[in-house]
This record gives sequence, structure tokens and C-alpha cells, in this order.
Amino acid sequence: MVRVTYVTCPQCKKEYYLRTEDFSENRDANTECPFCTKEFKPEEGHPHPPLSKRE
Amino acid sequence: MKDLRTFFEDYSRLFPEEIVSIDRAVDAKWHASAVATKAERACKTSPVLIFNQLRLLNGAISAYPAVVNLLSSRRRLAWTIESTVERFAIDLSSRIRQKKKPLVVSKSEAPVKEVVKKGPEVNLLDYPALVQHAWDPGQYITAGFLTCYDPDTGIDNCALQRGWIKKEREIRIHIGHHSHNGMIFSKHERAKKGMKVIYWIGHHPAAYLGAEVKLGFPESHYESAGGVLGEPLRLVPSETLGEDFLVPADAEVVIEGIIPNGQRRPEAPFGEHLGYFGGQTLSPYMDVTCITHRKKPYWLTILCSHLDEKEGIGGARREATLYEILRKAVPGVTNVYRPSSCPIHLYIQMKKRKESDPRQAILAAISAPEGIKHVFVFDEDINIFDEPEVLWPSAPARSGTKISWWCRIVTRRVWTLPANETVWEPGPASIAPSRSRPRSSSRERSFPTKS
Repeated sequence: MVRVTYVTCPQCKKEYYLRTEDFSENRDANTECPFCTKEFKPEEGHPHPPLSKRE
Repeated sequence: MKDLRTFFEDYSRLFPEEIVSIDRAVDAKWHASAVATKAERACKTSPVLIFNQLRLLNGAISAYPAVVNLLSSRRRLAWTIESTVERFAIDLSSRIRQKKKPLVVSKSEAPVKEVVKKGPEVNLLDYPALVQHAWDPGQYITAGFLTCYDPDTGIDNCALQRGWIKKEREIRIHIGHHSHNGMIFSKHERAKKGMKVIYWIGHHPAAYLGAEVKLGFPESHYESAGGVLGEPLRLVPSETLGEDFLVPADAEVVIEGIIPNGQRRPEAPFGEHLGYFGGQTLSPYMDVTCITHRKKPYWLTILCSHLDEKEGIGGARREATLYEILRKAVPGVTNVYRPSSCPIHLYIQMKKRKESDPRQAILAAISAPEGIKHVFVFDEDINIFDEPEVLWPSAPARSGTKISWWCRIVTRRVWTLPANETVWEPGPASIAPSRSRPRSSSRERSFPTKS
């Protein structure tokens, strides 16, 4: 099953989710808010559950 | 020569009420998919909707019509290959086997070359792609075949893979790591080369059925499209990807471009076919070099999370593939049906020759790469296309209250096995292990929000 991590956009404050695997293996990658197009690091969006490297 | 235009001519002559032209202005963002949702609920059949006045995201009315629901009806798709609802999987599977070599024509004979735009002339935001669901980040190509060539064999591969039109000349592509296109992309990545790709949009529905079906790797989808179409698919050299990169000459639109090596950008969330949003991924993107199309092309869209679309092309190609696999595993299999009520269920009808036949059929179905989670096997006297008739033997078999009767029913009429069970174990405990259910908090429903 695909795991997802919720983030909150620091600009528009809306919530959406990322595929955990993609972003935990690419920690430098930005996510892009689908609502306001703001780009930010997932850590800035209070990810829950937290992103971590694959165990 | 068959294409989308010839299909509309033939089909509208026989079923004029099933093609609905909408001349009122409708927004590309959410409104068009909401109209289609209402039409689905109001109509017994799923009519083809043609939006002639689609208002784009920039407020302008699109110069080109958008078409939805073309591939959504099983009956319509069966008609395109001269089959019936009941024999659809069997006939489609037989046509796929009758592959036809494509025919290469000159550019002057290719309707898709009527308009050619290159480089800075290209603006994909002018085309009537829809924003379908509440979380979708923008306009998506959903009925476009992403096509590339295997560098080792030179064989083409086509797949319906979504693309987010991010900018005038940038499409972010959900290529699917495990798909054949994904395998070809990995070869290019390992060789540190960009990959030449096209999207082709709009063709005869039979060409869609043939190109969408799952084949072995590497096998030509252009050839299987010709087989289902009943005539060779006409191809023409591309404009910017070289003379040896061939594109469908009778498509409505062809978008050419290159996927740069080693680059990833955010793509999605997007409303998936199971009715949930897929999370944002890091995906490759396509630098668009050229777009060619007819003078007034039909821009085809598949409404991904809609029930009717699942019954149509989504179910059709899976059934044909599964029928082919099952016939090899268990010759007694007579028909298969993936019901629109649940796209991860499969009903198998068979003439049981030995006790292990149903079990073998179940194991073959769930190990096939078609995402099937629950398989039900029936004797020939059950009409698998009639949901009440299917549910009637299934319900008492599941109650577990009348064991002897239940066992009799199970052995006579229905066998079931959840996909994530490794051992055959009939009974209430095997219905749906809790770990297989998506947690309600982890996914969001993806219905359109505007009605």
C-alpha cells in the first residue's frame, strides 16, 4: 500500500498529501502546493507522519 | 480509413441520442466534470458530451471542442468492434491477437499535420484540457497515449498515462515506475540520455482499445491497435523527433517533446480511478518541442474517477488481458467480467473440469498485473453480467451460518479469495483482512466539488 504524508502549505494553509517514499528519499526536493502553487520543503509544511528514510 | 470523425459519423447515424453537443459556455475547471457527473446520474446510457464553448482557465473560450465520456460505455465500445456486451472480452482478446503492421504515409496524407506549431508558437494552455477534481493542481491530459520507443529493439510502446499541463511547453508526466514506459525510461536514465516521447490524443475508439491493452515487453501497441481497428494504423514521421519516430497520422492531436535526463518535479495530487486522490509524487517532465493537430481537433478527456469510465475502457482492456491469461491457465474459463460496481473485482465464468480449476483461475487472476483484489468464480449457469444473479449465490456463501449448505454452494457455484491471502481458505475470516482496507484518514475522496 502506498504511504502518504500530509503537509500544510505555509502560504495558503491548505492541507494535501505527498507520497512518502518519493519525498523521504529526496530530502532536497520541494513540494508544490496544488492550490496556490507555492513551492516549499516538506519540513516547512509540518509533515505528519514525519518523513523519514525507508527502514 | 477509420478515425474519430468516421466513428462519430457512423455512431450518430445509429444512436443520435447518445451524442450530446453542448453550446453553452462551461468552465474547464470543475464545471465540465460536474456536468458529466450529472449526466451520468440522469441518463441510463452514458452519452458522449461535446463541449463546444469551453471556458479556459484564463477566461477565454477555447477554439477547440472538448469531448468526454466517449470511452465510458461498455456497449458503445463493444459496438466499435462489432461485438456485444457479453462477448466483449472474448472478441477483444481475439482481435488483439490479429496484429497488423502499421502503414507509413507521407506528411501530406496525414490529417494530424494540418496545423504544425513549433517552439515558442506552442501554448498548451490554449487547449481544452479539464481540471477534473478539487485537489487537481491544473489541466490534465488523461486520454493521451504516452508513446516512446525501446532503445534496444526499436519497438514502440503506448500507454494512457496522465500529464499535468504545467506551463505553455511543460507537461509533468506520471510515468509509472513499473509500466513498460517506465522500463524504457529507466534504460534512457541509465544511459544518461533524454527520452523522446509523444502524446497522441483522439482516434477511433477501437484504436484506443488496441493501444491500451497490456502486452508483453517489448511488443508493439501500434500493431495491436491495428488488429483491433481491423486495418493497419496509419503512421507518419514526427516533426522534431526524427524521421524514424512515427506518430499516428489520423489522431486529432500529437504533442512531441523530450524528457530531460535525471530531472524530477512535483506532480499531482490527482483524482485516481478508485475514487481517491493519489499523493503528490516526484515525476519526470516533458519539454514540448512541437504540437501538430487537425484544423479543429476534438480534445478527448477521460474523467478518471467516474464510474462510467471504469466500465468502459478501464475495464475492457483488463478483461481482455485477464481472459487471455486465464484461458491459458484453465481452459474451462468461458468468460470474464470486471463489474463497474467495483473495479477491483473480477467475475469468472467457467466450465469446471476438475476440483482445482476454480482455485487455479483465482490464483492466475490475482497474480496478473491488473490490480484485481477479489475474484469470484461461477459455474456456467450464472449470468456474470447480472449483478443480482451474482450476489445471490455469494451472499449465503459468506454468511457462515449454514456451513453444510454454504459448503455446497461454495463448491457448486462460487469460490472467492482476497488478493492478499496467500493460502486458499474459504470462510468469513478471509473476506477482508483489516490491514487491506484503506484507512479513512489516509485518503480523501476525489469527487468534483462544483455541481
